[in-house]
Amino acid sequence: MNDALDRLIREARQDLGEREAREVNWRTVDERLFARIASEKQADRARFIPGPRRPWAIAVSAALAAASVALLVVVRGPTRPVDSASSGGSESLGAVASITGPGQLLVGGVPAARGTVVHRGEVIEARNVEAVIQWPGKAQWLAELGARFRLTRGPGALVIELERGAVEADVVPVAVGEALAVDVGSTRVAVHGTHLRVERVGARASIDLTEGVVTVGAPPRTGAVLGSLVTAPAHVDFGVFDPGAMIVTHDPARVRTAQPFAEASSVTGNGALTAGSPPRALPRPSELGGGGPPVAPSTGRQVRAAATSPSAVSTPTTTASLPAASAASPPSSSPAGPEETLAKAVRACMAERPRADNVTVSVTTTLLLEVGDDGAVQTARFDPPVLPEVNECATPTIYKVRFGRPGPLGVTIEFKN
Amino acid sequence: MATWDGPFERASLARATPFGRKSMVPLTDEERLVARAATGDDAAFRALYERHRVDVARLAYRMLGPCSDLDDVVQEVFVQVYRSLRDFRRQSKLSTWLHRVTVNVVLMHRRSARSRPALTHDPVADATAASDARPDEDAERRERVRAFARLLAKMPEKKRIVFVLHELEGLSPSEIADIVGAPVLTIRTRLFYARRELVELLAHEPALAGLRLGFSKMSAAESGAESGAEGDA
Repeated sequence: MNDALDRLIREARQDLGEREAREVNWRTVDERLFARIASEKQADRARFIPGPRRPWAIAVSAALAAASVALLVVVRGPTRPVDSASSGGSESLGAVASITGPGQLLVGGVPAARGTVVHRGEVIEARNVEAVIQWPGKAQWLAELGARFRLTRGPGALVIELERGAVEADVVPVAVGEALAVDVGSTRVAVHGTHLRVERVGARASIDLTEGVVTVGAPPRTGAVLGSLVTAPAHVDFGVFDPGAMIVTHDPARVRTAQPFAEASSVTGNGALTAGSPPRALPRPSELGGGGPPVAPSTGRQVRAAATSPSAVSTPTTTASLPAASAASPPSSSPAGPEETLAKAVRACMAERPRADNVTVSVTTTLLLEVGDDGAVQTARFDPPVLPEVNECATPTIYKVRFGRPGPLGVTIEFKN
Repeated sequence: MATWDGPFERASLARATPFGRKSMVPLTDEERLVARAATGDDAAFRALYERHRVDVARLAYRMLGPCSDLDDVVQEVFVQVYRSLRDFRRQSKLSTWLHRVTVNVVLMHRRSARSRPALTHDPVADATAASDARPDEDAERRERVRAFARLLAKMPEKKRIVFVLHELEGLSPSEIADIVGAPVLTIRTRLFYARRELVELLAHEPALAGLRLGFSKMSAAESGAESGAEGDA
């Protein structure tokens, strides 16, 4: 028997994993790896704090720096450097991924550019611009026109203290605790994942939850927020100083459609957000004002006015929605595309599961796919996971379908019996 | 070969000897790449990555078995390498250090994946066959490697890691002890029990009955050929 084992070992030494290692999609791994490294480098630079020096050297350096800044301000006008550590080396909470619009994005009171690192404690104000800020691997959020908020950290979570306007956030879910929180007045919206928009107008606030779960309640001194758990799809209205009197509706027609972040970022296989290219197109003024019919942008993505129109709101319980890259596809695409085929197959697998008659099963999951150059699925993962039986049942279909273009893809699947 | 044209290279050549003094030893090509990458040289890091990525992927596959997250694991390994390269003190070979990083990432991945079942297309992917083998031999060999992967997957994690590192990756027990942070004696014990467990699994795995028979036939044929050759001589 030992001989047999030795032979097996010898063969495995030569063969086991050899082909799989060479067939890894190196192009994708390269792109993601070096994007992450670039992002980390940027964060490192932002965290850099000069070492202790003699007082006179500090004074001279400070004077020289002040003179340089003054000169720059005179010559070029105030602009925040991309790798600024002007917040005194405080914790970096991401970087500006895109700014769209004629106005200015102020970070800590200084005009910011794409790539500017944002730090804990800084106030961010979108003056006549929209800006996407990314915290790789954690979240990305859109500061809408006129939004003003401060970034802080709660226990384990990024906290956006919203003073006015709206932010829309795409949050990478965490296994335990809260990934992000939005504070409005004395109310905290704790986000467990994954996509929501919070708007504050005076003493009123609203939440449009398109994916995932949030808890609305008073900010705790420690630990997680204790309050009302709200699941998507939901629209919530509440007074910012009276979260108890909130009105929740799960009518999909009342929920504002999520704005895709696909152009500014992409979701990697392990769930991390990686920086991509630039900004989403800013809606035209006529679209923002809601006057006149909305005009579809050339990219084919939904515009804000269309999003607010009830007729444009998708019904998440009927079809697969595509929050990432596929959400950008034109609405004229075939309804029986590969995404829909997958969603149908997965729903069929879920429907096959035995259950008691008096139990209603409701499942929302996203099938994260990596599509190869040939259009075939390279890797697939459900987030959150589904039953292993559903995995097994859906696997043949997942690997059989072909997509029109390579890259990462997410297919949101909702099932309710 | 080492170049002698820069202060960095010259500074890197000083190495501690066992007697505490420093000797000037030329750096290997890889050591120079490591030194440059540790100072933030992207080209050097990329060169190291391209040199070792297949080895890392193979090791990860051997420890994880078939899974759809191999790309992610490899990516994570090199992110960790990038973060930790500055702390790499060159007390061990780079390959050994890479093994350690890979093992740690694989363990983290398995822990996080326990509550997150991943999809795989093929329970055990086909293995590459020897190019000079006949088609039927290829098939048998592939089947044996599949069976072996199945057996490995049944083993407890600690034993599997030690077994893979020693038997498949060719690391010595002392190197493995350094990687997993356990005494050499513990490593030897785990290796002993891992082999014993695999032998038991071989005996109780119905799918391997044919393989054992096949091995017996092969052994008989080989010994017959050897005796024939001796007779001819």
